[in-house]
Amino acid sequence: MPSSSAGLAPVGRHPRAPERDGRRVRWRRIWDREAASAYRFLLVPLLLLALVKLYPFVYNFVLSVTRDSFGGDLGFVGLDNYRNTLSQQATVNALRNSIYLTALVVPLGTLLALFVALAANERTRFRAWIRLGFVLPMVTSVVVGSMVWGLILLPRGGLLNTALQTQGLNWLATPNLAMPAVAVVILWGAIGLNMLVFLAALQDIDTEVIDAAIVDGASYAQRIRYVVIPWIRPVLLFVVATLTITVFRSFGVIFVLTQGGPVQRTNTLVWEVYLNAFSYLRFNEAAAISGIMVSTILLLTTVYLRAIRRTEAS
Amino acid sequence: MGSQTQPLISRRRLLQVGGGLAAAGVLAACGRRSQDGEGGDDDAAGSTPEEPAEAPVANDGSRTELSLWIVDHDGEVRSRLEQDILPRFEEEHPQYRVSTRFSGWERYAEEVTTAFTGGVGPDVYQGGAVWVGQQVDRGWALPLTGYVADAAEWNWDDFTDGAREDVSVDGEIYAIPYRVAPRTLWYRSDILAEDGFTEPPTDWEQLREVANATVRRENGRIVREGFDTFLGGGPAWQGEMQTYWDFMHAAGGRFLSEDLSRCTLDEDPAVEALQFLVGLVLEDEVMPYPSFENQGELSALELGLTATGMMVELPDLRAREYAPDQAEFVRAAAPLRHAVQAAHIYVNKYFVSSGTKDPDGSWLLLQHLTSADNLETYSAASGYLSPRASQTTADYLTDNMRIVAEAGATGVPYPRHHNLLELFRPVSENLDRCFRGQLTASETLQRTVEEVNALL
Repeated sequence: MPSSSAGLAPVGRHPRAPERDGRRVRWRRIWDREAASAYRFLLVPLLLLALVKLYPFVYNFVLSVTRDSFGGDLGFVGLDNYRNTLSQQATVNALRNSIYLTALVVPLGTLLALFVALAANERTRFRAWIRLGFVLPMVTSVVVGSMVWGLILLPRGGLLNTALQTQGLNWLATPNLAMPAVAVVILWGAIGLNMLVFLAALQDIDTEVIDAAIVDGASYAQRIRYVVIPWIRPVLLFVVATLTITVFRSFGVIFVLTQGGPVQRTNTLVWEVYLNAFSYLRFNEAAAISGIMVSTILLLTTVYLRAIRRTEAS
Repeated sequence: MGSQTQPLISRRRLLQVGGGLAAAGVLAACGRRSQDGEGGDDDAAGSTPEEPAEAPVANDGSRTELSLWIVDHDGEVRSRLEQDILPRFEEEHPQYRVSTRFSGWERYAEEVTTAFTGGVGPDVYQGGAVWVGQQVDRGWALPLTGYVADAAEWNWDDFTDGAREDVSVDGEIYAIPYRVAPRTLWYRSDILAEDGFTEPPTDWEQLREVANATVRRENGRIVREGFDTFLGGGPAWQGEMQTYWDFMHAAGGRFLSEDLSRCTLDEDPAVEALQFLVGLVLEDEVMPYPSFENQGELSALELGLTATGMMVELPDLRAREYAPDQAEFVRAAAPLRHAVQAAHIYVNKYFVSSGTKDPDGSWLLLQHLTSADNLETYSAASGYLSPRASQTTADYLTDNMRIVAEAGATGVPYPRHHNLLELFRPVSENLDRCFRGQLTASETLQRTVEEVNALL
């Protein structure tokens, strides 16, 4: 039901309707001329959204609880596909790796994006260059960026090994280094957008509050700690939530650089979905794994959203 | 506005329209091209060249369109197909028009899977080395045995044994090979000469001797390998499995039992092969693990960073194209002999879709594409090796390519299991652990057998 804040129905102009006519009045409110015009504009996007988002989502769920996706005989099997995939070591490893990758990228990515936004918010000569430098990866293709990173990480002749004088160190083929290397590449691509989000939030802070803190003798660190962070906390949680989703969905970097190896160390849920669907043609298992992935993301997002609501309420 | 405003459409009308749109969307999204009934499996399988199936109405009203999906189109292949091979087909069969779609290996499997799942697969399409079992299991490949039997002049017997074996399942032919890639030994003649070897190794013992003599170390680090387990591209840990197959076949072993019901990697030949490789890598340390990575298109062999390695025809192609000054030193040799002389062989092939509405026309196109003349044109344009035995000494082949082509005579293809890629996963991962020293050869294969059998 649209509210006045949504700008669709001018609530309050209608006379109060008797209880028995309540539903009719509500429909009228929805379908008056102004609202109908808005819905006509929304119709195409909503249909597209239903077709390319809702339908695949529902169909994925159907696949995950059925037996065969090829022959047209979709026999219901309950949660068997979920049980089967979770009983496989590869899926458990993938879940663990996805959480590990999230733990590597999300805190670091959030902090870095915040620091960069703080730097880009200062009136310095380099402000434009800082913004440009961190926004550029956003407009670079994931595949191209990953391929360039592959060259940087080459064991012999790679830029990183040359700089560190660690010739021969195979970052992507050494089990303990592969995931941190992947995390760095994902961070590189993800910081720009989050920096922009933080920057917008920082520019929304009332300057009088900052000025008051300065007059009170607060240091730069104290201003960040006691003024800026509380002010932008909802945005901070939004960034954490979206970054978590980004990390869980990261496919291109792993596809180009490691393909899940070495010894499954970079095998994440989304890679496991890809393998099952397109290499093994196990669409039902792939759907179950993606169901597990979506559930994990939903769980984490719910936690973040509750935290945001608590923050807003306080 | 206000309470007197009349709705533009009634609720009932809205629900009707919405319901109609939703139903149309669902039907459009769920709809599959029929694979039974008209032009489907049964009709197609029953068709013979003498009884043409009813052709679909052509787009231009007079010619039937056949869709062809090509993925192997290196070098001049595309222009040869578009300017020579396919126009001649359309001239010889004016009732057909060929619509060709070129793709790349990095996305091809997804495209084919999506197309068939959506019921819009091509009429004729190329497939890779591990495709037969999967295509047959899914019912996407049309059996071709009847067509092959009736095409005497086209000459199925001219295809090499390994190529023919690769496309057959339970005595039925499901595809026609267009490219073979036998794996064999490659070596650097300059590096071997430096250490006094005038001939390449011919068996395992000689290989070990050469590898140990040619490896070079500086400050405890290997700077030149005596042997390299992976001369391909991509993540290094995926290549060892291919090299392991070569040694396993030479030891007389095999991956799966004849009936594909169990993994046989715990049998003596398979264990012996891995023990030999582990000896080279971990005991003799003739290479680091993972081995030297590619630089651009060039592997350690073309770069002069390894003395020996196992590969298909690629080192010759890569050296001639990207490192011509090294090409004279990059040499192929016959497959190593142990219990037997055998090499692993990859076979790429054309399938006819079981969903084609014109099986006879599709077969005509396939027959045309794989005729002796056209396969030679295709192979010469790409630098690939033809699966036809009569073309192993074709004029376009270099000396190296002829040696590799001859190795094809001992070629052992993959078993035609429908889940081969899934079965490979425990093999490659456990081999990786083995070469990292985490598992012994016996433990590796025992564990692999258990994991593969669990999948079978």
